[in-house]
Order: sequence, then C-alpha cells, then structure tokens
Amino acid sequence: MEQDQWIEMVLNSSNGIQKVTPDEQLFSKIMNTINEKPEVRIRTMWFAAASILLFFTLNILLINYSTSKQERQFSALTQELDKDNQLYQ
Amino acid sequence: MHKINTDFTSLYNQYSRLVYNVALNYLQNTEDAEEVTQDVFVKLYKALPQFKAESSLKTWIYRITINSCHDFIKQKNSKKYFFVFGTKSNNTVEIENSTNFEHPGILLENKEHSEILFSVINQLAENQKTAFILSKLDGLSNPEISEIMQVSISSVESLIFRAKSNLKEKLALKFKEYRKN
Repeated sequence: MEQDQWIEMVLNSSNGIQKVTPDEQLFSKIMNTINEKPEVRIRTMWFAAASILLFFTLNILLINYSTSKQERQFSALTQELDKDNQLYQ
Repeated sequence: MHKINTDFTSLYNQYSRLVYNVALNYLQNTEDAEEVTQDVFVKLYKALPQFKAESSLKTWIYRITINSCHDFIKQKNSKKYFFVFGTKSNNTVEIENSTNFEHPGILLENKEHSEILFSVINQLAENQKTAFILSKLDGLSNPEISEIMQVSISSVESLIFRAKSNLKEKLALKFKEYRKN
C-alpha cells in the first residue's frame, strides 16, 4: 500500500512541470556556427583536391617508373639475345 | 538571404523553448540540451528551404529534435565505449551521470521524487521513453505523438502503457532501497 502510494507520488512528480528557456547567448552561438560552416567546407574541398592531385601524381610516377623498368629489362634481354645468336663468332 | 534570416529568427523565437525542453527531458543535462538545440537549429537552417508541408512544421521539428537526441546519446555512448574497456549497458539509451538530474522546471516540492523518476525513465526502451516523455512531460496528445513517431495511435497507447508498467516495476525496486535509507 505504502509502496503503491510512493510509486504514484514519483510518477506524478512531473505534474506542473514548467518549460525552461534556453540561454540567451544560444541564438548567437547558432548563428556563429551557421556562418562558420562554409569555411569548413572550403577547407575540406581544398583537402580533397590536394588528396586527388597527390593520388594522380603518385600514379603517374609509378606508371612511369614501371614502364621505364620494363624497357630497361627488355633492352637488356635483346642485347643478350643478340650476343647469343651470333652464328659466325 | 535576408528573408531566410528573418524567417529563421522568428522560427527560433517560436520553437527554441520546445526544442530545448524536449532535449532537456531526453538528455537530462543542460549543456547537452543546449548542444542538441544548437545542432537542431543548424539542421533546420539548412533544411528549411527544402521543407515540404507534408507534415506540420511543429511535428517536423519534434522529429528532428528526437532524432538528434538519439544520435547524441549514441555518439556519447560510443565514445565512452571506445575509451573505457568495460561492459556496456544493454540499453543504448541509458545515460551515465544523469541519476541526480534536477530538472530546473520541476516544482520545488517534487524535486526529490522527480530525480528518481528521471533516473528510471533512462532505463526504458528508446520508443517507450520517447512516447512517455512526449505524453507526460511535454503534454502532447496521443494523435500528436503518433504523427511525430510515425506509428498508429494504438501503438502509442501501447507504448505509454508499457512504459508506465516498466516504470512501476523499476520504482518498486527503488522503493526497497528508499525504505532502507
């Protein structure tokens, strides 16, 4: 009985709850956040552009390196074959 | 741009208390409630030009606020889980450090009991907590809650009923502790 009464009292303790007003500075904080946002976007955009540029540069360098390496290997092989195929040595 | 700012200022004046109070009831921390209010209005500022009057503006704002509160709690819990190697509560909506929350809008004579009420509200399942807060603390009707939560009115009734039953069970356990003290 006492328990039920206590539970009801706790459940009803929110009766007559008043609405609370947020801090007066909150609106200016929100406006600052809104105005700050584009700067972040531009910074992010530059970061993305730099990353893409770096990605392509590295790829081009890698392709150049691997093709020149292949060419060097191929010319070494042809030189070797030329030497081996001399019939009148 | 000027018109958007004017609209936005009036929107803030009209709905800031609503957003802040829902966030406060949900998060039970004034700083967190302010952070979520800020986040909600930034989202509203961006989304306002695309707002289609398919639902009322108030319902839409309620939905954004509740979703932001859920996101905030998840983010807070995941941060906690990331840094602390321990067991995590099964209930994702449980918030730590909120057991002694004193709601600034509660009547002085109810302060002690309301602290207990808020601590057990946090142990409810997410949708039961939402329905209970909107009904009991925000004073919304079941049709309004059904529109916000996008469920049927009978589902809202069931959620509130289950929330109250669960609260009574949890409070019965609290009563034993209360009696010991």
